[in-house]
Amino acid sequence: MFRRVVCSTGALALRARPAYMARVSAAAMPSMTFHTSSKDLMPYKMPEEGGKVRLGFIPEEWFTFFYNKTGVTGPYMFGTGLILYLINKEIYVVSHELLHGALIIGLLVYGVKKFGPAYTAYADKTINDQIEQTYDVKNAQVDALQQSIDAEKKEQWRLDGRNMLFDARKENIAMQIETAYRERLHTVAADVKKKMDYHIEVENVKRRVQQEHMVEWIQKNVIQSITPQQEKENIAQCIRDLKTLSARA
Amino acid sequence: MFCTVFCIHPRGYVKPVSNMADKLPARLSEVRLGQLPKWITSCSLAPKNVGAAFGRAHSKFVLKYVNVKRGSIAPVGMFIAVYIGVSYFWRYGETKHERNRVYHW
Repeated sequence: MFRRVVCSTGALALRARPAYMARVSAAAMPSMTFHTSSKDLMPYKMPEEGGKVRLGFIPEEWFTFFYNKTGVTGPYMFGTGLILYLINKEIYVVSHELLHGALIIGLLVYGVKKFGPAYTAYADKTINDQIEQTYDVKNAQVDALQQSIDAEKKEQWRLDGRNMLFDARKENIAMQIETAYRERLHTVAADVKKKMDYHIEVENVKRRVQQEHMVEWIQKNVIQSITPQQEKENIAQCIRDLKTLSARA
Repeated sequence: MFCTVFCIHPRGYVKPVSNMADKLPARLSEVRLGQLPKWITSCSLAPKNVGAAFGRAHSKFVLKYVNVKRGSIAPVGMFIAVYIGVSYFWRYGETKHERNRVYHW
């Protein structure tokens, strides 16, 4: 059955024509609606199920319209009565055409009931494959864009890391500067101490030299002042002391 | 067919709005019984409006039975039924001569 084909092609044909292509005659009506509202920009979703029919051509609404008054069998009774009336009064003439029509319609119904589901499955599969293909294309594009977004975010994260690297380097250099400063402070202190030690050493050396010189001079003078006669007396005295000491021991 | 010439409808076709000054609605189901003659005589037979009426009917039918995801046998069945009915109606003048009985009470 071409219901699926009618479905898709009819919908496509009716949807493919935009509003402004409809005017054929110059006296076209002013009640044309151009698609200007945002509601018309949304993709149109077809309803799932269409209107229901009974026996293939009678809409379901006619049955529900009479349900309150006549119940379930009301419209069937009406149909039966109508058919019997038409045949009785020969408004419908029973002829060979009836047999032709019954056979043809029977064949059509049998064909639809037998091959309908198979064709339905095939048509649904085709349409679903197309829809899936479209969605695959869209999803592939979305994924590619998402990947590029992630790559961009990662690059930004890397740049943040670079900022931290700069900070670490700055800290390093600051520490080196501090170390050098303190080394120089120590050097300055050591140099100043050296200078002061030098002055102290100079004073010490001066005093030592003066002292030694004074001692030498005093010794020299004392030795000069010892006359040879005093020296002989000294030596004799020493010998007498030694004798007495040895006598005692 | 009329739809293409007189207006493009489906894609969620909206309800018709009554463009009459007094309080006559546009749908037959909303008309009150006392206003019925007035409603019937207020229809215009200008070809533009007649064509627009055909377009509205066609749009309504298409939106209900054709522009759906899981269609049914309804369009085909209705087409066959109308074909049978209209062709029998046009041929009734000749079919009258093939009657089986002369008197029907």
